[in-house]
Parts: sequence; structure tokens; C-alpha cells
Amino acid sequence: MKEYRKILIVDDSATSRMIIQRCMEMAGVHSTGFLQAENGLEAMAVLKDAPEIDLVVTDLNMPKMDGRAFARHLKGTPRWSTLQLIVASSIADGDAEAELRALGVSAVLKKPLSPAKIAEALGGDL
Amino acid sequence: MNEGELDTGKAVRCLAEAAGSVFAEMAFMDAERADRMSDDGKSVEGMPAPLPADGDELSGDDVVRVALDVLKPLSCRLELDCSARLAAAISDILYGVADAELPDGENTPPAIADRKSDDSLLEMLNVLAGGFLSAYFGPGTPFKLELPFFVFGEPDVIGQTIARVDLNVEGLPAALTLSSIRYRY
Repeated sequence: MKEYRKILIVDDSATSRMIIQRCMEMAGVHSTGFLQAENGLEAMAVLKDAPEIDLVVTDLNMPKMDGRAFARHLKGTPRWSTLQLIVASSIADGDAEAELRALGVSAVLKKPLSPAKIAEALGGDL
Repeated sequence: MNEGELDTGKAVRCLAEAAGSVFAEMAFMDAERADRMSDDGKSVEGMPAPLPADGDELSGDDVVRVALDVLKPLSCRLELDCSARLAAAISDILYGVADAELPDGENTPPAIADRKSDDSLLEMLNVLAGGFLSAYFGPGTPFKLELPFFVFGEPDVIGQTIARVDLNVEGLPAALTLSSIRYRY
């Protein structure tokens, strides 16, 4: 069973960050802690200070740097390109999911989230 | 959005469907239609979930209004109105206050230091918008949304109502309104 070191949750909604963390805990995701950021720009700063992060869950629709730009930047930067990245958004399905997967996103989840959706997305990693 | 391009009946059905599933999945609340409008927008009698006659009303200062502008595939605004009591109930449920175990002799839940009750309704509208757009336009359609915001006083857009669904959320009123956007500069 994989245990994550640190999980970073990126969402401009404090409520959504809380729901994502709670769903992950209820799904049995093991980690030594959660970190949070309100947008992609802030997430980049958190990543620089916390190299132990090995899973990132991000929203798409955010101010300053949205989830697509964040994913593109993350996957285009060698030190972070292998980081596991999951998108959780109210507007991600169909073509959007294909586009995100092409960027290197490992799973795309549609809100509202549930522990079951998280467990399915992380599959064998739980 | 050009309201002529939209099927009002389908929009009403999709709004009601999105409301039902999002209230249930996010807040574990039943949201039933409470209006007296049929799917084609005509007035009919006898919808199944009328609100209590002496309950909260969606008017006056006690109404919380949040809105979100859709930019793609068409321009429109989705607004969620609800009573302050319902907004507080949603926040309580999302943050687990309703289920909090209280020490003996205490009747009110403890304050949660990082609770962002205002944010709860904005996030709920955000998810509602995604649910409505997916249901109406189907998978594969690219969507672009602005960030949700609170509406205070006079709205900054003047648009026509395309579809509206009045809801009975476990005895408390709410309404979802889809309208065209014409900005006031």
C-alpha cells in the first residue's frame, strides 16, 4: 500500500479544499500531512518549499493561475514532471479530460467529490 | 446567451436535476421542485413539494444571493438564491457542525476556527453550474466559467430570465435562475 509523504490541495475555495481533504481521509489515503494553496501560483511557491510533496490535487477554475496553466507548468518542469497530479473540477469531462490527460494528469474527477471517486482514481495506490 | 437558442423546458429540467444531485451529494439534503411551472414554462397547479405556508420566503434582506457567469459555450448567468437559514444549514453540514457531538449540557455547536461559511454557497453554485452545463450540453462540450460571487443590491447586469426553478430544500426555499447577460457599464 502506497503511503504519500505530503499531499498538496490547490483550490480557491476553502470549502472545496476541506471537502477534498476529508474525502481523501475517508477514502483511506495515507500521508504524513496535507498542504494547501489557493491557486496555481501559490502552489508553485508551496512546491518549492516542500520537496516532499508527491501528490497534487488541483481545481481548474482559479484566479491568478488556473489549473490548466498550473498543470502545464508542473509537467513542463523537470523537477516536478513526475509528480502525480489529479484534477478535481466541476467542469472537467469529455474533451477537457482528454486534454488534461495529454498534459500528464493521472486522473480527472468531476465535483461533487466522494471518497469512492478518490479511491477509484488512486486505485492500486491505496 | 441568446435565449432563443435555448430550450427553456430542457434548461428547467437540467437545473432541477443538477440541484437535486448536488444538494444530495454535497450537503446530503433533498432539493425538490417547489414551483408551479411546467417544463415548458407554463404555469400549472399542484407541483409535489410546496413550501410550508409559514416558512422562510425568498425576499427581503434575509436572502443570500450568489451568481456565476458562464462564458462558454454561451454567455449566461446562473444565480442561486436561498434563505439565510438554508445558507447556514448548508455550511453547517459541509463543515460537519450539524453532526458534531456536543458536550453534555451544551446546545450549540462549537465554533470552528477556520470555518468559511460564506465560501460554502459559492462552491455549491460552482458545482451546480458544472452539473447543469454537463446535463444540458452533454459531455465533450468545452466550458468556461467565471468565478462565483455574492450579489448585493442591484445586479450589475440586466438580462432576461431564461429558466427558473424554485426549490424546496427540506422545507427551506431556494431558487436557481438562468438568465441572459447584458452588462451595465
